[in-house]
Amino acid sequence: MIQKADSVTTPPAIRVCCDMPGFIADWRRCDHLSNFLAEALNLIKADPFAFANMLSTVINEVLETIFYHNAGRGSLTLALSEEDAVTVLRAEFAVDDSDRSLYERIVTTLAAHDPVALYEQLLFQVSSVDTRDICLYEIAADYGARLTLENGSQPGLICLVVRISLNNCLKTEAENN
Amino acid sequence: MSAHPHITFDEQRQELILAGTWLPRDSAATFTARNIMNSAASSVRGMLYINCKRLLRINSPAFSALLDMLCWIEENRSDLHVKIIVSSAIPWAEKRFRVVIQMLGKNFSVEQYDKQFYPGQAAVEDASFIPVLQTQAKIIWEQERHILPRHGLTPQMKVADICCGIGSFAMQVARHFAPKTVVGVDHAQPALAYARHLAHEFCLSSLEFIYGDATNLLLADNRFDFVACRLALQIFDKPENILRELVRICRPGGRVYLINETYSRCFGYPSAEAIAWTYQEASGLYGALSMDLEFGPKMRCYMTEAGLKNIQVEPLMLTSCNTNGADFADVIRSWEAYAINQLAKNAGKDEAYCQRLREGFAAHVRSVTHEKGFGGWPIWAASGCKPG
Repeated sequence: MIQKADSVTTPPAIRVCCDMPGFIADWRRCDHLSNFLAEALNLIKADPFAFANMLSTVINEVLETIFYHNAGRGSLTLALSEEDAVTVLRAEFAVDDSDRSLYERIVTTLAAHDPVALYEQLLFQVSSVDTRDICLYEIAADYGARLTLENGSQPGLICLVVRISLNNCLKTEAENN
Repeated sequence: MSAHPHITFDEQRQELILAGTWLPRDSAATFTARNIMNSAASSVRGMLYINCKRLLRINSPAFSALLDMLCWIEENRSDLHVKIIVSSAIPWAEKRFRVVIQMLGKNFSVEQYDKQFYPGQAAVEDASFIPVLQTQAKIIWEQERHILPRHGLTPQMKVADICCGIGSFAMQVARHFAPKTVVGVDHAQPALAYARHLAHEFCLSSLEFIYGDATNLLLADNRFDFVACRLALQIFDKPENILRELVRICRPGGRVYLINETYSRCFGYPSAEAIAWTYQEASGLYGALSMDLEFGPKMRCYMTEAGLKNIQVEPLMLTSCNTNGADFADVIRSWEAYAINQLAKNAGKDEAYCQRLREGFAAHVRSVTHEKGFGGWPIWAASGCKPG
């Protein structure tokens, strides 16, 4: 379930490290950080607005999940890179056992099932499913994001890896238009 | 009207307007929004519009609040139809809403409004239109560059070029007027791709080309010193909607600058009558696509009604004496090809009609290329100041 962290082939274009208690002290940090990262990476894009809008939406969903599911200590390290036209976000942070299980369950479930069907099912069970926990399903369903878990750089840390081909998403949108 | 930072309900139009970045922390933080939405859902009759044209971002708790309202409508208001209106300029929107709508049933729909908003839009967004734009841009710029300072364009300005097409004007401004920045916006992806390619190739780094809808620009209020919109209001059937946006993004004291034609008044000698007939007819064919190529003289009226002050209008006449004849002829031939191959054929015109159109265009080409001939294309330039 947790993979070896050996897949890093390209250095991150942007790396942000912040104090986890500081991050979870203010909900708006999810928005600020997602915007900052997306804006920083969009500088090299053909349609910077569309790219940043899509990427910040995805990163925000990831950060909102982390906001609720972390150990409340240590650091949150976010590394954003591009590997073969795939945008990769690596989020490393400390978790307790229950949150580790939650991430493992989400990643395993998404790998084994159709993300769109899963998301639709969860979306209409809002009374029994916390909306805070469907963010990761949403990005897998709507944007084709692929999620994996890797061991963190130190014991007690996990690294949530989100791979997304935004160019494909944007191309599809443009073709539909 | 009920209001929330991100939600407004317009009772008269039965429209819930969602805008901005709506990222509540949890379900409890959507309480006020839910009240507004529930009140709207229970009070309207027939059709409820949910306008998401400017909804930049939304998170799961917000989306869930919206979904709860939709589910409530499905269960309790079978008489009600719901139409969610999204913009193609917001890349995530249509897909995210469509997933939900597919599960809710036939009373719910998603519409990408800027896809069908303008009847003639498809024609000008086609890649085949690029050569027409390219040749026109070249000959207009030679005259236009001289009048721009009179309309307030000076160095170090923040310039917007709305409906920028292939970006020729934006690039020329970047080259000749040393702007701080130039942002071009257009709704035609092929034209934007071309514009970005050229800007990159020519190392024009102060330029940015953005996909967007001119009637709902995702640009901040009061951001630009000089807002240009050229040969564009005339091809939309609701020019006032675009003009309102041009004024909004212009800073107080800045100027909104427009150019538009009186296409039916293209003229030439000899064969003046054949030329006049052809352009009258061609203008009518564009009119059938809800394009008003006679918009030039109407600009002052529209600008005044949009609240602009100190409005200046002047002719920007292209003639065979101030324009390279061969270039002018190329432009006329591109008009001819478009008028006959697209407009006349789509309008079901017969071959005799097309032949007569051809003769007029051919006569116009002769008038601008022959050493004794004289021909022209009347365009009008106008600008107005946004009051402080």
